[in-house]
Amino acid sequence: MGILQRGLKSVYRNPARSTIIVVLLGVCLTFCMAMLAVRMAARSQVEKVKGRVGNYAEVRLASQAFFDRYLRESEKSEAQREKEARSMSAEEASRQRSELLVPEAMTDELSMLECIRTYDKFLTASLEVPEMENTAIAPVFEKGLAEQAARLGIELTESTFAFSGNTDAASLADFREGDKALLEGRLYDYFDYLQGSPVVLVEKNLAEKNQLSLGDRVKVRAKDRSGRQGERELVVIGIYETRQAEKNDNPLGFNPFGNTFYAPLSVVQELNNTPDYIDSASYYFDNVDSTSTVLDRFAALPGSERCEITTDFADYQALADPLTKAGNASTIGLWGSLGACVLILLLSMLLVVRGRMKELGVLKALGTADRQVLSQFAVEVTALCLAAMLIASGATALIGQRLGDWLLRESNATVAAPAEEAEGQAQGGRAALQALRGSSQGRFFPPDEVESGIEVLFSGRTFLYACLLLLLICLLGMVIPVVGVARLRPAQVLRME
Amino acid sequence: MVEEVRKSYRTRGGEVLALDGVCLKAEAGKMTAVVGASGSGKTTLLYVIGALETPDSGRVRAGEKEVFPSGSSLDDFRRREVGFVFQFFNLVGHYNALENVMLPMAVSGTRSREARRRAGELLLRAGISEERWDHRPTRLSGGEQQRVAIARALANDPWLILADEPTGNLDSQTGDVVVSLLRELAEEGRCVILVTHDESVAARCDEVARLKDGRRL
Repeated sequence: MGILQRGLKSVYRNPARSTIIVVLLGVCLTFCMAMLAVRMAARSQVEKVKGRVGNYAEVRLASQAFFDRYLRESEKSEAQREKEARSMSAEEASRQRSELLVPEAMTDELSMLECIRTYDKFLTASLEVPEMENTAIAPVFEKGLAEQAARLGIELTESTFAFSGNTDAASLADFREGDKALLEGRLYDYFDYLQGSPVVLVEKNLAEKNQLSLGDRVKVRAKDRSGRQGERELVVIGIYETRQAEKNDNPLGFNPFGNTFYAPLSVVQELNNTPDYIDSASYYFDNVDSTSTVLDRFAALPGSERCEITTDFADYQALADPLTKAGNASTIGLWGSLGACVLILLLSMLLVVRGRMKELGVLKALGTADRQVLSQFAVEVTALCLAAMLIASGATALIGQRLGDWLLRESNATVAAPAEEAEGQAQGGRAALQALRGSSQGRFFPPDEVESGIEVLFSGRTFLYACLLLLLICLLGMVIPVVGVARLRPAQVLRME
Repeated sequence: MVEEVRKSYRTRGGEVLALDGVCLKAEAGKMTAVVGASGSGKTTLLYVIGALETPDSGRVRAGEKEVFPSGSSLDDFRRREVGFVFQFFNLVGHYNALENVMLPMAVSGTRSREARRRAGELLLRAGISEERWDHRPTRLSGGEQQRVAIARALANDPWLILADEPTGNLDSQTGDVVVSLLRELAEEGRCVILVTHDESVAARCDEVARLKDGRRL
């Protein structure tokens, strides 16, 4: 009858008591393991969210600079503006145009940060294509918006089209997300941008109406650096289709149906006569933890006071906060239930040891070494914990996911009110920005596009943690027997009758 | 064997001197009785000899073993050289008769099969028939329990048997049987020391040591 057998026999000696201990332990361990699993799932989900949301930034001209210019120009009369325009040198005109743009050197400097993964620059210019008519621009004239545009230095005619440029057409959000799709030809790429290739992408309907096909040339009217009016020919290398009309709330928008020409940024800059300026720049950095690095670097850049940087940190928060809260709640639950486990075990073992003092005295009188007595208790405690752990594992598999969902729901409810407020502000701010400057060229992840639930899985890691948990509570459960046996004086115990 | 042993206890009422310079010599092959009234220190003396109690001073020697003073653990001594028989039997309640006798052998590392065989032999010798082996102590009579306790005391074949009031909880007839059993063990060459306050039991022993207030008379 070895130690193992004696230990197990001790478990069976009082089945009712052992069952109660196992059930109580099982319940607490179930919570313990479920909380552990939820905590791990929440952490993993936060990491997943970190990799996808909160790592995007856009640099644009500050709203204030835009408004200042608009108000300044509004105060001038038509005649005064015309007079100024006539007397303005080419250099002054170029400087005036660039006042509403972002210096490229500054955004390039920001892109040098180590955490930046991708970088793109955008410029949209209104340019005249004399041989073509923009049917979509008619409402702009009807609403008298052309005058407002003129106050910003944008001259609109019926042949004015939007020319949108970036470094690589494939990275444009419209093409990447399928709002626009290439039907024929190819998209311009980074090399076209570097070489300043005179190429352009034309919308299908516009191409059909003007009988344009691949290889045809589009004449664009543009001023050179000296202010001389001239024409530049761009080769049509691709024809695209608009599948999803752009959401343009801009009151000055004159191109709502997608009659946009896409060309390499360097070409649009040249045609607009603003070679070192852009509308905006977009960045993807490694993860949300680098947000402050990016913001700090931006703030330190010369000229950044005229510009502003927008990130999707609020989106990240909207997703990660409930997860983090659920994780924190589960951590509290984990320690609470672990404490309850230990308490149950300690009290149980206290009762067991007290009830067996006589037996322990006899065992010691028979020459049983302390380590042998403790080993017997260890077997007993381990058997109880193991049985409880088996019950807990099954129960956790059943309730783990529900508990995770419930915690997430509760956390969502807790953060809903402030989040709604913040979201309202963010939405309002972003909508205002977009109304002024057109839609985002990059990508703000709408929170509902990213999986925000908790997937409670039971992996090898969970099992390993469960084993460690088992070991921990077994060790803690042994405290009472160790103290009891160490303090035991067999002679004293044997006299108790 | 026991020389000038002193042992005192601290109680709420003050210090109580349980043994006051007691000397005792018990020989193998003889049954020695320690007789005295309640509180005379006879059980303490037995526990000191069996290394369950540590004296304050003096010397205790059991055969070749220096029990006190001793620098090493006495677990092995208790396990292999001493067999205890208690007044209230002190059998482990959730083990049956056979398992109770096997217990000391399990503690000393005897293989289970061998322990079972020897436990059976000892129980038969103690007069416990095979059909009673799987009975738990609560289903055994007092006499049977004490015989099981004697069988347990012999499990590791000790040369020293220490019996604390072995007949104190039994009727006279059953007590006679138990004393006869102990007598047999002494005749086999073991050293049997029993504590009793029963003069009739003491009369059947080879040597009698009388204690009063912790002193040898």
